[in-house]
Amino acid sequence: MRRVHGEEGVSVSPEFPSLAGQEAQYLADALRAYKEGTRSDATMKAIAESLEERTINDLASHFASLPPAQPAPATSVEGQPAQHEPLLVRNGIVASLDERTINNIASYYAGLRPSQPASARGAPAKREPSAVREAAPADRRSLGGIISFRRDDLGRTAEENNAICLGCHRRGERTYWDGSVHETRGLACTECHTIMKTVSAEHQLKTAFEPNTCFQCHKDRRAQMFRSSHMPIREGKVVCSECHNPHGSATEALLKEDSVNDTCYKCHAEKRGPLLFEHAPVRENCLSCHNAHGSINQFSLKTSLPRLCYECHTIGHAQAGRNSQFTMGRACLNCHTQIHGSNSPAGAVFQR
Amino acid sequence: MLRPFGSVHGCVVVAALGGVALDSIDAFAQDCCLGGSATGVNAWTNGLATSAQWPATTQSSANMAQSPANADPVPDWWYHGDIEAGGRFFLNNPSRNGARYLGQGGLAKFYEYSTVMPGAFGGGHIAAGSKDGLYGIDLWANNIGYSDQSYFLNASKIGEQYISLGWDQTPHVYSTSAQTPYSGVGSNALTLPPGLLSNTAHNSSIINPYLQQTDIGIERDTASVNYRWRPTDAWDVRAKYSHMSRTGTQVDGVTGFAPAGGSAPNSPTEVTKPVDDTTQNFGVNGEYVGTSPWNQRFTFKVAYNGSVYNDNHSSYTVQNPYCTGATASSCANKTESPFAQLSLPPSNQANAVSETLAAELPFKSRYVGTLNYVMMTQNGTFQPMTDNPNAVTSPSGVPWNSIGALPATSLNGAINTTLSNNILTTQIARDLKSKLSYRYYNFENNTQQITFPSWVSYDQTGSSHENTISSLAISYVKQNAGAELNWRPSPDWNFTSGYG
Repeated sequence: MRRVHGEEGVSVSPEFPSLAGQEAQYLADALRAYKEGTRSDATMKAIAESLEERTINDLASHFASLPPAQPAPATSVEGQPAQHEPLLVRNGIVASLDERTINNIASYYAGLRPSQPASARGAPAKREPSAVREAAPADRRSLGGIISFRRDDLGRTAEENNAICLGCHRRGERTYWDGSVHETRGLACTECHTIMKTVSAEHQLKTAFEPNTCFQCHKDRRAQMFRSSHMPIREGKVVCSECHNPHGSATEALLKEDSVNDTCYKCHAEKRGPLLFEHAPVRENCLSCHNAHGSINQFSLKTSLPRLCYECHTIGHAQAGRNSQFTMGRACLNCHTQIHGSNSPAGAVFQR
Repeated sequence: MLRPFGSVHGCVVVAALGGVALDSIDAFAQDCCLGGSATGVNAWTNGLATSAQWPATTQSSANMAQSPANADPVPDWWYHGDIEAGGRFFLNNPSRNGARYLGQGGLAKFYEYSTVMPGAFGGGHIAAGSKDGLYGIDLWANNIGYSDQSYFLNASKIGEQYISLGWDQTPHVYSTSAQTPYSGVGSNALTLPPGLLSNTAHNSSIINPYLQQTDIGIERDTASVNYRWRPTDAWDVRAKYSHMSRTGTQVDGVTGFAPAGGSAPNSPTEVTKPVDDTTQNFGVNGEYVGTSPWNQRFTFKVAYNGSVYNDNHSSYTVQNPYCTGATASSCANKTESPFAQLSLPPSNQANAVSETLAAELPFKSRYVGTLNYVMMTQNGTFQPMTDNPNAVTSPSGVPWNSIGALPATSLNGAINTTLSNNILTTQIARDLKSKLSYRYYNFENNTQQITFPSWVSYDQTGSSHENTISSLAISYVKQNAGAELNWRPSPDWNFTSGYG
């Protein structure tokens, strides 16, 4: 091994890597991989198969303890040694790593369990190369500064990952993110958004159909969307973000406007008024009577007519039967047709 | 979903966005994470430039030795898109215009928000952009030529200017099997054919010959434009405008028609109400991000939003089938009017100004506050108490069918709302966060209260009238305060304690 990997672990041949200063855990795992055949090399396999577990650990510890050699100065065009920049920058990443190396290193660390004990499988305690120990910042980034936004990466919380996005995007629609219901529930930006590819037409969402992003969690709203009386959400004409701001807002239910009614007035401005004769529950809240996400009753009402009206009104129209205008068709609205309010002087009971 | 015109262009686009590696996709994927060749210095060797080859893998040397510099050059402009086109037919046509009373199928629900009919259909998406990613444009077209067609155009210079244009048509069909004897459907005057005017009761044998099929529904056409400008990283300015027009019909119930000896209040008639209005929404806002005196970040935003609703009809009339002519004397009940007059939503306006301040504070705290003020006004001219040509003189000395009989000619309605929302969050520990909130909402209705000493119902003559009635301006104030403590010991567990 000394002939191949050099005296003191510093290889003199470009065909064989240096082992001096390598991380002991890595060396031990590499030898085990050769022994098990999960890493293929005929020469190393033959060597590793002859090693016992204790020998593997001893070899790994030995080479990890050796000082790594410094790079040989390159020769400039004029024959003078060129000055290399420091290869490792304190608290920084190694800028000279190529793309494949970065991916390989990231994959290695990503494959480690976060609770890896110091002496996994009998290997000596992990000993980080000194340069890497100095370079690793406190935010638990992987070597090279790679951050995994994956949901199963337990090394980082959603808040920590979100902080990276919010470094630029904590403004505009995200102003109310802190303390919002989604933030409080630990929702990560990557639960809804993907920036590495384009899926949706806008907002970098994970689904082409925007409501499907919300329906990941809000299954009840998806079910309501399919009811007979509904706004054209499933037809692709209305999306959730036309009324709601999922990043937080100053209004209940993450509505974009100051109130429920102000939200509805964006498309239904004919109800805004003010009107001469107001219907009080209409002025207070459209949801007093309607279910905005869908209903089995006509006009997306919460309850069928005339029972909806009976929630507040006890009336003298007690007639029933198949020909009764008080219960059939639009029931109370057969006569009280201006139910949202009337601007007519004769409209006190919403009939004109 | 995007389907590139050609795999070559698709590969080039992906490679260009990936940055350095202008490799072929396959080679890139295979080399990733399988060792590869580390010809440069790296952290493992801590700088030994000559320590080049990692242990050989089963990968071909050709793949492992492939240089990133061998990728195809990126063109000045890239483009991709997809076109969807086809034809539709039904084994059993849903029969959109079927009439239920003839035993046919009327499937208004099937056509509620779209037109799904036999024939061709098409749509598509085209995207183009510069190779440096600075400029981009997208065009979408859906359901071309149908009642629910839509077109959107987005163009941008990344980081500086963004513009979006849109045209959308959304139908809302309530019924395709409605039958009506009235002419002028969709207008503000519904009239009956002379043969149907009678002062006696009507039955189906009398009415049916005059029935004609009509769709009941509205078409909502919306044109929109949005513009965003970021002159610097600190500033963000946006403007938006949309114009929505609605045309069509909805259903109303009319009372006040009765045959001789009948009771007008108990005889509602369903008619088609005209819908012909426009809604314009517009707004502009500016946001600034800066550093506070205590060296932390703050965001300040001011905005103005406006809305104008204009109804082309303030009212509409419906002819009384129990009047043989256009005069009151022709009616079966002499107090009834030959025409009922129903009000339509009046034109109105709304203006809103708002400001939002978000500031990071010491001790890992953050404050967000919003102050909004909205003004809603409406001042459309009232219609007379009745349009009955035989209207008697009101107690004010003016006939009931004159606006002069009213105590006011318009409402002069004004509703102002004030919203103040404040939130203070503090990250006490890594997994412990507090939130204090206070919200104040004042719905202040400044509309004058109008008292009608008497009023007339069902467009009668006013010889008998109702008692005094007053309008009521509804106002309220809503305040909410809350304190929350949120503890998240692990990603799977979240505990919140709050008081509000």
